[in-house]
Amino acid sequence: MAVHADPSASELPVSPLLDVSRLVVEIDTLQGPVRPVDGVDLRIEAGEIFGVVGESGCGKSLTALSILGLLPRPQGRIRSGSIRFEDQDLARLDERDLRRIRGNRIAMIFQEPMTSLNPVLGIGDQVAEALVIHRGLSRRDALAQAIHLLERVGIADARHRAHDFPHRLSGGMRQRVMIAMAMACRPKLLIADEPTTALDVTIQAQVLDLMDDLKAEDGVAVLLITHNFGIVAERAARVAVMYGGVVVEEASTEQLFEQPRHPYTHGLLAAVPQLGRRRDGMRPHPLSEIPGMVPNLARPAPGCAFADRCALRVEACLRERPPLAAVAPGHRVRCHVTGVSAQ
Amino acid sequence: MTTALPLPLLSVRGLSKSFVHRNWCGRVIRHIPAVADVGFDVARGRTLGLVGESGCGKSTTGRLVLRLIEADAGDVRFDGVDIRAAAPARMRTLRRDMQLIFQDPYSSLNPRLTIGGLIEEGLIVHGVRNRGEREDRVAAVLRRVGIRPEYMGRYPNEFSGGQRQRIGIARALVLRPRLIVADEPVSALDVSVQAQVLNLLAEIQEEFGLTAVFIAHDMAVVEHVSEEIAVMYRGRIVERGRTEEVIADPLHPYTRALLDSVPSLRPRAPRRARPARDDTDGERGGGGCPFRARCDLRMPICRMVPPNTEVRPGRVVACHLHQGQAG
Ligand SMILES: Nc1ncnc2c1ncn2[C@@H]1O[C@H](COP(=O)(O)OP(=O)(O)OP(=O)(O)O)[C@@H](O)[C@H]1O
Ligand SMILES: Nc1ncnc2c1ncn2[C@@H]1O[C@H](COP(=O)(O)OP(=O)(O)OP(=O)(O)O)[C@@H](O)[C@H]1O
Ligand code: SF4
Ligand SMILES: [Mg+2]
Ligand SMILES: [Mg+2]
Repeated sequence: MAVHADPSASELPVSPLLDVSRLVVEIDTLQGPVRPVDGVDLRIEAGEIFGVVGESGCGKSLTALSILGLLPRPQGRIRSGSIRFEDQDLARLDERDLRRIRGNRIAMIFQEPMTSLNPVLGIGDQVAEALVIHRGLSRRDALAQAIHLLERVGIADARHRAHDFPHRLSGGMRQRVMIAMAMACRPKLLIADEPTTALDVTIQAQVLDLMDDLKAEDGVAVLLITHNFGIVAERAARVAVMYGGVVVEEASTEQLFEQPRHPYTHGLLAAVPQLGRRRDGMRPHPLSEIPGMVPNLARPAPGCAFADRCALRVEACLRERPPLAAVAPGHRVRCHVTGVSAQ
Repeated sequence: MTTALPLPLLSVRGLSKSFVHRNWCGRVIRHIPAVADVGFDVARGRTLGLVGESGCGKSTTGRLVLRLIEADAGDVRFDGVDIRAAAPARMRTLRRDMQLIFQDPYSSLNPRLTIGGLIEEGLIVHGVRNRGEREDRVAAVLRRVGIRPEYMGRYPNEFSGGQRQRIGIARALVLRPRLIVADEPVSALDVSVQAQVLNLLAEIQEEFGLTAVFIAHDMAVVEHVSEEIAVMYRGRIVERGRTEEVIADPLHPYTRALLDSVPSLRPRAPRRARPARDDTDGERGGGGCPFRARCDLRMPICRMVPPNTEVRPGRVVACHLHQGQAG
């Protein structure tokens, strides 16, 4: 087979599907402007599931909303940084262009599907509507295709259920309808912000299985935001851990869980209770704790955001912000002490 | 003569409660059997973990145990006293001995009271007249849960979620109860805060010899805190036993599905088969095993409610697959 003569084709590594670089989001509050996202870096390859984990308030949702151009208005804005997707910088696009990309090249699903579904329209019609708008199908073709998509996301007897209103469905079924709608547009990137947090574990597993299938069959990349480390461990190829508005560690899933480097990642992993730890009627050891509390946005630390809670802190940590430095191929850490290359 | 086993602090038998759902003009649409024939014992100083999916009747069971709502049938004995038959005066003292800790630290604390006032409330209700004594006890209990007594005059909204949960624990603890029903006390918290609160609960339980019913939907959390587990499904306990045994060797198909669905921290753990059946249609309602619509192993006999089979002492499963295995 002939190799393309195009010289740019030999330029591996190809640029990632999504490349968020030094993203800073500013929000006006009564106490003045704050920066809940303060220099986030993320690189997502086509067709991979990329997990973003971190505790409440660390800036996960605002990062996702920035990518979609959906920051709260007028108080929120992208202050600096870039969001490269395919060949464009989304941070610089106007609303009209963003709307074209949203729901088309990039689709999204949120935690509570009920708020994003139209309560007075049958689920089949809603999926069909997306097909008419984004793929230009005729109404009849769209409805047939919608039923097919509903079947694909595991809605039994889709032909009849297509006429059901959302409130007649269970939470897991609604989330699956949301996925069908997102897929109707054949996106390149699916942003899923806590898609299963409101669901019971057995149902949660089904919805995540479905996302896996979509990745495998349609080559969709998924940005999976969650606070559940277990979900990331099972589903994602790569992970970013966020703390206080920055990515503190980014690695392949194996690297992150087998050789976590950042003290915060260490602390979090040790704090998660795990099945199968109890022996012989004894109380298990206490869980390890991370002392202190999450940082106050109104008073950002000059140095490392984690410094006031960190056991490894050295003097530089209080003064200087650590860079996100590579410690191994594909493994980056933002820490003065542990973020040093092993080589 | 047999040697008497020590009397469990809490003993529940045949507990049932239905809710009536009415339409807007008051006509009864349906009866929801929220809790059906539930039974368990909790030994002194021990914790029973109650798990199951949303709506399976965990909170209702907790409320029935504390008699915050009245049961339709069944027996709840606290230290041998039949609480369903207790007269109002007796109930008042029992209330002090049995306290509830809520899931949501935000909505369960009255925003207009200072945290000191919130904790003191229970002491006033239960007749601690001496103001100095009340203040001392509030300060001591706050210190115990890791909140500075100086903060007594602050309001709940000035505290983080984890701190509010500590305040909720302090409020229950100040009355020196013997039984705690903790209804999803860490479900709203982040992992690092969850670890702090779970450790605090464990220390306090040890220190005061508290008995607890711990309600949660996270299997790993329940395993961490409880010596015994009861798994509920649609109002019934489908499996019950020592925690290690239930986790290592689940007998009921629902318990298995529940455990298989818990993501582990091992990257790319092999995917396991999961029940993909849709339980919103078909085999539902009427009699029969409540799990049969979702069960891959169902048999014709599953149209009958399975008996609670005690396969080993203290190990109970409600499934026709295990019937006749008693021994
Ligand atoms: N509209 C807003 N106005 C002011 N502050 C905001 C606004 N939206 C978010 N924030 C603040 O920005 C920070 C980051 O919020 P974000 O929603 O991104 O967190 P998150 O990581 O998604 O948390 P969670 O896990 O709770 O969803 C939080 O401290 C939040 O209080
Ligand atoms: N006061 C009430 N009136 C009518 N129905 C009720 C009432 N309380 C509970 N129910 C119903 O009883 C069933 C059991 O509810 P319960 O709150 O005990 O479940 P749960 O296991 O605690 O669920 P969750 O995990 O969501 O808290 C549900 O179907 C619920 O809708
Ligand atoms: S930079 Fe310093 S304070 Fe921050 S995590 Fe590393 S060691 Fe700890
Ligand atoms: Mg969020
Ligand atoms: Mg409940």
